Amino acid sequence: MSEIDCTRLVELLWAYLDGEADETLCQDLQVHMAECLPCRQHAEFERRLREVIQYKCRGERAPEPLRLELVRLLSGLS
Amino acid sequence: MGATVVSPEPSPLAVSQEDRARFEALVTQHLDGLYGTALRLTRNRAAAEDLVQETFLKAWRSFHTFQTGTNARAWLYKILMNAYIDTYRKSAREPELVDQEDVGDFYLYAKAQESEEYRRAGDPEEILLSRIMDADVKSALEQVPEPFRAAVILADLEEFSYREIAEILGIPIGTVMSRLYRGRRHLQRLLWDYARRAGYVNGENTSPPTKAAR
Repeated sequence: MSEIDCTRLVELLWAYLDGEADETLCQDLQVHMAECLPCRQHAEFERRLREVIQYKCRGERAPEPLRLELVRLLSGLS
Repeated sequence: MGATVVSPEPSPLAVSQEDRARFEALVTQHLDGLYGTALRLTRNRAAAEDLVQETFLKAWRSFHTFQTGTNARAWLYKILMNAYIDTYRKSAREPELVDQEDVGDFYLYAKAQESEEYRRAGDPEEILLSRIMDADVKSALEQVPEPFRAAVILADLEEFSYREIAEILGIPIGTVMSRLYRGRRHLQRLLWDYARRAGYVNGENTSPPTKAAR
């Protein structure tokens, strides 16, 4: 039986999106979102916002000289 | 500050070929990720390279204490964070992030919802996300003050769990969550400023500059 209302969903949204909510809680939140369009839209917005942040900030590649320097250093260490 | 990761013991005299091969595999696997994190932390390529180099040297020295099968990625990030904190945050006090307005944990969503300009344009969330897509998100993230930035990087970019972040930073889970929420709120506020500016630059701001002029 779900006791999730919109206020409670907002309180738990980060934990849910961060994968920190347990299975029962996830189900309760999903039940609420299935019935509540504003909460569904809000969760969807936060999920997509994180994807944009990841897309814009991830994917750096270490410079080749650093990689070579590490190989050189490590081969010289005992 | 953080727990000591590097053992004071010197590394064992005889290093097996097997150890070396295992360690080199770790370097190959995690170099790009650690470098990316170091870059977002230090905001400087040369400093990031130094930090990554120091991380792997320290990791190698304590590799004999590392248990195969445990979380190698979290172990390396912990060494990286300790090296970073030792170098950059030694004397830093935790800043007070003052909230000028009480908008809860979801600043951008609240702003999009209450923006008349966005609502008039039809789909506030969509417009806001596309503007953030055009914004300098890296620069916004790099403006989030420490120690909140580290928590955001570890959670939102590196996708560590709260428990792993607590272990990496040597702080309780409750502190992880409060740093993370405050860091995210700060980032969202900066992104809102970027999005607003992008609107003016692209001429998308459809609201007349002065309504009173009519």
